[in-house]
Amino acid sequence: MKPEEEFREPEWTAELDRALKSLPLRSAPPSLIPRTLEAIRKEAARGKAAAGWLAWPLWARLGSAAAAIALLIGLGFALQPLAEAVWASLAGPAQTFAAHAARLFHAVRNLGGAVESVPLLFLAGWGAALWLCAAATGSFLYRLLLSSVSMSDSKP
Amino acid sequence: MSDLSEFEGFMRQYQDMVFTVARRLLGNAADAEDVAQEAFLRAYRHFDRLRDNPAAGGWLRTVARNLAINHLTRYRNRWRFFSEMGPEDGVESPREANRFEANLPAPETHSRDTARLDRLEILDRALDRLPPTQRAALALYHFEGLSYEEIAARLKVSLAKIKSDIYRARTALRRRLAAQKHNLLAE
Repeated sequence: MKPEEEFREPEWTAELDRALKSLPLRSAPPSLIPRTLEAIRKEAARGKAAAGWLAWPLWARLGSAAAAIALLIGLGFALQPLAEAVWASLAGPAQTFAAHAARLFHAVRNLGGAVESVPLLFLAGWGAALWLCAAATGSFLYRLLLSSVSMSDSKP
Repeated sequence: MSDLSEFEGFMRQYQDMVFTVARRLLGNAADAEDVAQEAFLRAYRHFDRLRDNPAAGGWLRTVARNLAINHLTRYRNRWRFFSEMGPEDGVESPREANRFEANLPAPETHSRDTARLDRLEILDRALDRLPPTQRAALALYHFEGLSYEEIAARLKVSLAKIKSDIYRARTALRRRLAAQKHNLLAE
């Protein structure tokens, strides 16, 4: 009988199923109940504050919402001069950055035009040479790494 | 606190069942205890509805099973639970088989000890020694009553892998029972 056919025996599989289902339950470790009760107590000790804002009493929810809104408005007024100062200080560097970016963009566009004037065959050859160099270097480094790993594995 | 003492009684009633479900799926007592604790924590959150509910046992069993499956799939990369690489996957290595044989009673005492050992205990021990991937699939099929397709979907592996794991688990169980001169059908 082939091994694959062995368990196509329905009687044996059914008997195994019955035997497995009749296995007695395993006894839970004695530490299970104490540690679960401890976890329940810890969870309860976190209190209502940790239970989420929606679980707070209505007066606490209304009060905390009003306080949060007032705090945001107050911060807005208090920080307005600071925000204006920051904006003014950023204006100069931002203009400089924009000018540099424009110059870079023009340079890249000019480079693109220059590349277009080079024959396609030359570009393809150059690309293939670069690819071969990269592949050879990568392969060399990979073999170097493998040999160092195998040497370190063979140490007692 | 009376609620807690009532819940303690509830836990005493179901702790072995919850622990066994997790233990058979995870094959590890420490992880099974973690899963059992989490299942009971969830039960406590719904204790108002569960305390007098005759379906509480079924609810707990499902929660324990789902938590154990989540545990298996979460940590599968760590212990290569469902790695399909390597020829040893699911196949008992000769070294492992020898270790099992080494744990058997000496031949001269074999018949006496076998008579003493409960056949279900032998089966339970053989189940414990299955590779994790096979034990989980077999447990979900035989203990939890899931179909091959359901097991594959829950464990997020292919149907073919599940069929293969269950087949290999049965083969290993039969081999190990035979090694103890133990035949289920002969009982």
